[in-house]
Amino acid sequence: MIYAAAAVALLTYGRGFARLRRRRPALAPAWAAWSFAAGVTVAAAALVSPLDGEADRSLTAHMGQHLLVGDVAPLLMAAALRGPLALFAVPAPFLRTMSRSPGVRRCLCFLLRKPVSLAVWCVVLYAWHSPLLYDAALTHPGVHAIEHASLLAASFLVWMQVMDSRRSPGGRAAFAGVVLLAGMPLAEVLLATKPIYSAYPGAADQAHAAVAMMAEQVATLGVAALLLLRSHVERVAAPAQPWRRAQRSEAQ
Amino acid sequence: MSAELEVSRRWAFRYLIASTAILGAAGTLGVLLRDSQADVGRIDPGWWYALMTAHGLGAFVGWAAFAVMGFSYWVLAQAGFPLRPWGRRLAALTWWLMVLGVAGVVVTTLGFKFGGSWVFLYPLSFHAAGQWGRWTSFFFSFSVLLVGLSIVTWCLAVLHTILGPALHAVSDRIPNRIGVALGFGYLSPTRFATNPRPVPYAVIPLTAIGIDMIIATLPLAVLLVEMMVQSLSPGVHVDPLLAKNVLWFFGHPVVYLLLFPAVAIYYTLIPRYAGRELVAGNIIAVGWAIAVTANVIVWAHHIYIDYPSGTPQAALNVTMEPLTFAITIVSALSLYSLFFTVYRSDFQWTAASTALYLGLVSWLIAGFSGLVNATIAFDQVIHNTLWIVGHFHQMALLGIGLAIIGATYAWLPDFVGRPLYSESLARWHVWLTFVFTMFNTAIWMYQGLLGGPRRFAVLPHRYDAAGQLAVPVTIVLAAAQLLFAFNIVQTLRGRRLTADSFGTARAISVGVAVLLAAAVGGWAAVGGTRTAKTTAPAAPTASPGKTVFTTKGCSACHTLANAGATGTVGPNLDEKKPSFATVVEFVTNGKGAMPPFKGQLSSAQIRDVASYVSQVAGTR
Amino acid sequence: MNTTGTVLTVAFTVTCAVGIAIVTLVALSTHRRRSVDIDRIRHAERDWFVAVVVLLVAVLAATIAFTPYGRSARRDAQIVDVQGFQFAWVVPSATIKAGRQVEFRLTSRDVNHNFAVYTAGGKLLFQVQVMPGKTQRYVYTFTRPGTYHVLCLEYCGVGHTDMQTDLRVVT
Repeated sequence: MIYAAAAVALLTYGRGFARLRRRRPALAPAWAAWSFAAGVTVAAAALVSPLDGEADRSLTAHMGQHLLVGDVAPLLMAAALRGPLALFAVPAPFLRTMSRSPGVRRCLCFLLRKPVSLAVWCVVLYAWHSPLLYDAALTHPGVHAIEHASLLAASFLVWMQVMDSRRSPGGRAAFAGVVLLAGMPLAEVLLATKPIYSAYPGAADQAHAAVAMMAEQVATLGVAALLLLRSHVERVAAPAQPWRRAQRSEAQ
Repeated sequence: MSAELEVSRRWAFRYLIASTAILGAAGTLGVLLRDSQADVGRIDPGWWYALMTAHGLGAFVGWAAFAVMGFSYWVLAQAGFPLRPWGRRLAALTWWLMVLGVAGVVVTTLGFKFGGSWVFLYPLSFHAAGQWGRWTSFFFSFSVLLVGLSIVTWCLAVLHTILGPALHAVSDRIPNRIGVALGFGYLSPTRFATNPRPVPYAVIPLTAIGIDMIIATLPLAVLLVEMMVQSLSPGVHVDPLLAKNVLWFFGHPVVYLLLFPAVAIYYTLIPRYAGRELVAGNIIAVGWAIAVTANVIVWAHHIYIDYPSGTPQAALNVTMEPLTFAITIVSALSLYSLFFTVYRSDFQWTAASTALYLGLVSWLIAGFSGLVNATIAFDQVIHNTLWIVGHFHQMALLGIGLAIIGATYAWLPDFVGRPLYSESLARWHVWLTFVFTMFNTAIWMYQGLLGGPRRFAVLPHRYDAAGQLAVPVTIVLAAAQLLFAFNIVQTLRGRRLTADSFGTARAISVGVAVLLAAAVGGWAAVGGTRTAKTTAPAAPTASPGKTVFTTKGCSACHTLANAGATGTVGPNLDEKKPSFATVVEFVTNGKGAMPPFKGQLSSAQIRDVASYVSQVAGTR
Repeated sequence: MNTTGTVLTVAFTVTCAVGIAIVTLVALSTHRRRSVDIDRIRHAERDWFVAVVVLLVAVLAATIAFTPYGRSARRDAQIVDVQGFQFAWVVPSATIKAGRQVEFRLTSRDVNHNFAVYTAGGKLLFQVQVMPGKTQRYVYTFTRPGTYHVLCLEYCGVGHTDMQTDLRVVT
């Protein structure tokens, strides 16, 4: 099932990538293809490799799996869908249907608004980490699959926004920072409380899982926010401060 | 001077005079405390702690906070934000509340022996061990409440001044104007637009602390009211862990009440002496955005070592380490900007600018020790040791203090319309203060790394040598402040040390040198003999029973003249004159509030102390 | 001085020396009129920001694991009940065995105290706050037998310095 999904994803992207590369190679750089492939591989590997078995025994391993599927993979895939690639990656018939249907367009536009993606991500993250739903996912494979898919999708929405080079880096930095902070309380709770998931009774295990989550989120969202902020701060200033140029020319 | 500036000038000047007077008193107390520890003018512990309480609040709030609060009005006026009518009223109210509050603290501590320390860690105020009464505790809490209220009214004055028309913000909405005042315009110029000029850098830290101190002080105000009620009605109480968190929720931002306005002074004066605008990238606004938020959510780094079982305090404490690290960012950015403003500039080195520069150096070094404190792994070792005392004296007395001193030398002439009495005297003062405070704090930090405890009226003997060394250092430091006072007084009187009285300047330098030599010589003579006394081999003339009595905690609660014990928690043994059997019984099995010591003392020890007490009770 | 103390002494001295060298150079630079590219320095502040954040994260990562929190005692740990009050420590008679884990269960009868254990030579081994109305647990293993000295490290009133006692650790 996972292999099939991975294959479909790779093929769809591959075709779109090739099409764009034929016309405008500059807009379809090689690293994007590698990034997408890496993202799909990471997601698939996290789900089929021995990590999956380990995840049954240890919350830390399970958290690691979620972080790979739900954060690292989406960010790699989102990075690969910059600019026109995002459109080309979607097969033409789907694209035609979507563009003709105002409902679908409105829906997508709504989802891709920052507050909405943030809200969706928070809801998905916190809901699946509540003991009731988390334990349910562990007992029912179908629910578990939905869990992984929704984590990936919600994270993908967030990362698409962070990676969107058309929008101001400052806004994207702030967004990445807010997402990072929004996830911290969850890690805090896992660190502070006694074991809350019936399948993982170890307190140290839960603490390690919490630390792993914090570290990974800082490493991805934190670094993204930092780099975007760095790119933003001096770019925004120059045109908006004519007073400074005026002062300098006065001094001369 | 324009009428608007005149109002700001007048109030900045009044705060300066009042706070400097308090410095004189609080500083003297500090010297007395340090010297008492070194056995030079030993003070009885009950009074030592009362002096310590007065010194802490007096120096920290009565001098440092009060002074920078006053300078803030002038900093704002210089930046184009003069005090308007309501600001003036609030400035006046703040002055009176602070003066009355500090006066109340002085009376309750130096007059009525309140010795709860400046943190009055709940519920210590209500367990005086016979040292102070409940009305004293009531009035102390009331006085601190007045001080807290003065901080709140100051915040209102500052925010009122900043958010007025001088801000030149395009929007009328308060949240947007607050964003502008916090420097968000440097990050998002269209959303936080100003016309025509952006907000001056010095305004940003003042806005930040104006907001933070209102948030931080209000819960403490509630706690203080509760403490006033509890002083008179002991049945009322609150959870001590909650009280501790509320205290530090205020206790951390109040440190920044000193730092942020000092930063505003640095942002204003350093560029002026460098002849250059502050060399700051827009990223500095990010530092302040982090700071204004983090300031009110890092309090638990003061209670890293408090984590009672079954409470979430430990998890809370862990969160606060990264947040505390985050708040250092604004200092790192500010120091980068300030040092680069000086770098390769035509910097005018006067007494004032030297003080400011040395203040930056001290801020940097105190920042390093602060980072150590912020790390739980290190705090485990240095918490409540003299390292902490070293750290905050470096930060408050130098990082902040030199900003105050620099601002005084820079602006006193403007305040009184006369030049400074003597530049060279001022330079002496600045350098002596810097060198000898660094020396003093280095001693503390070294003692602290060795495990030397803080808030000990009498330190364990192994720290004696270092404590002895501190005595001449503190005397010189105190003497140097006389130069400050003299310079201010002479300036106010319109005197001037002119060029042709070069002889007088030399005489002053010689006089200062002689004073220092006398201080050091005096210590060497007096301290030397004391050292000889304390390092003389402790002849085992004390009986075993007396040794048990004096080393196992009995002196803490009982009075026994022969042992030099003056404890008042338990019965006076000189009056009770217990028999041998009684002592054996009570010490072994306890009695009432006295716990049993049968686990801690061997039966031989119990017999020894019983024979000792029964023999010497009632004798000299 | 304990190990952490030594590490801090060295690290702090070195850092301060570097800091003082830098600020001295900056001060000296004002005596010669040389040009400087202000705009580049201003723009470079954002790189300084990134460098500071990276440094702080590194220090955090290196140190956050070494907290006293979350230590739980093994089942065979020796339990030592300690009671603090104005102005003495009461520790029960059972002597502590070296090499075996000890769980201190600390309570206070009145105000905040701090149970601080030193070696006979004056090295601080550990300290933990003791709050009224709550039990504080602290887990420690004494590696060497001997007499250890206890001080109170949270100011608790006029007899604060008298709150001292000894712990005997045997093999």
